[in-house]
Amino acid sequence: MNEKNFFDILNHADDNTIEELAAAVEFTTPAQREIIFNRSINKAESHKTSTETYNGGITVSGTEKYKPHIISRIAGIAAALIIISGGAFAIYRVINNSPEIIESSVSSDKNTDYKHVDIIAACQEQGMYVEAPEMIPAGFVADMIDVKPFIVQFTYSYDERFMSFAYFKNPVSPDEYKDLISQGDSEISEHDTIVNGHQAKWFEQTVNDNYEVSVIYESNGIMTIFGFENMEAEQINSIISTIK
Amino acid sequence: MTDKDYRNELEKSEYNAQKMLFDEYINYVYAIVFSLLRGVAEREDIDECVSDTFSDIFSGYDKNSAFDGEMKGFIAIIARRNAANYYKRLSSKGITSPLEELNAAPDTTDLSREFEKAEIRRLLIQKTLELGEPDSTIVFQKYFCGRNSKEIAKIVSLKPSAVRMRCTRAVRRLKEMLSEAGIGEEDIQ
Repeated sequence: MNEKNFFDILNHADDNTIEELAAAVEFTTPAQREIIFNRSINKAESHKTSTETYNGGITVSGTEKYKPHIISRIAGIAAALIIISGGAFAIYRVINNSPEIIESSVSSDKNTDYKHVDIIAACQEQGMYVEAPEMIPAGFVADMIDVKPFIVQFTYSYDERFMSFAYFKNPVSPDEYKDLISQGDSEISEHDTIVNGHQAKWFEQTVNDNYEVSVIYESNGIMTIFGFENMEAEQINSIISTIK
Repeated sequence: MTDKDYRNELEKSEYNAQKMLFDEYINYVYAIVFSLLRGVAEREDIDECVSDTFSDIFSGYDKNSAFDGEMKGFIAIIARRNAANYYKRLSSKGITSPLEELNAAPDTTDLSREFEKAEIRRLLIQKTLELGEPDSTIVFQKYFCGRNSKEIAKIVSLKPSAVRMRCTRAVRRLKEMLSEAGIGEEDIQ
């Protein structure tokens, strides 16, 4: 079922539904409200002014001669270049995080034991319907890891943004992984949780507003790594190779 | 808020009166506009339509009127009219506006279908609320308001990854709850 269509039934809603929606849903953020209010006041004010001017029939105001601002344009282009180069540098840092570890941990045969599998499709072949990667039963993942040794990984689009999920079996211990990521500059949080009925450790590594990695260790030895938003498959594979 | 309340506030301070009215009705106006424009307009257009609505209310209100009643009806009419105008402007296919559709005399089969739809809508909202916080907010914001995980994460103070995970589970639970209430996939088409 397409969930977006599910809520489409609220389009062109009747008065009672509108009342219920207004009570149930916070449609705007405080910042958004502030902008809308100020815009409303300004529009009302300019409407009042233009009406008064028209009634007097004397002056027309509110227009001004357009002057191109060359300095503003140059500053805008410079700012855009800074943002683009900053983004490129951030991606470079992400790919090259903890270079010493990459060198020591990547084995020479890293490409030979790597298997890329569309695990959702594999589940569906077995008659299992899964909506999202994180809902795939742990037992199924464990079986897949045994069938396809070492790594089962697939990519996934969520909110029209790119994500990837990768499953491993006992690649490194939680402590080893923690040491690995602690060498970077990023913010790391760790908490205990239950995943698929297993006690698990969850690491969340936030590099910046657009990039976040979550890693879950289940007590059965399965490690799930996900959350590579806005990254290309090649870059994801590069990070996965550091875990191997 | 009644006309009398608003006029009393206007006498003291126009800005404060307008802010008070805005704070009280922003969600209501947004719900009206959003429900009509969802699917044809971008969020910026919807925000623009809402600000046009309040601007019309502020500038069009007759301070000297002796009328006293709830402001809600007056506000709803302006919101619907503006949303219908936006809808016409934004719909490139020249289809009828929702306002015209609402004013058209429905036949009896439409009435029975509308009654059924109203009940499904009520149940959908009720069951989504029964998910509890923050899941209900996550589901409404994602599937009704169209916000992405990152935007929702800021609203509910969670990580985007946690929002995605909760959302998937919440939707699964919602489907089960609706199914128990007798609402299936075919009912919402």
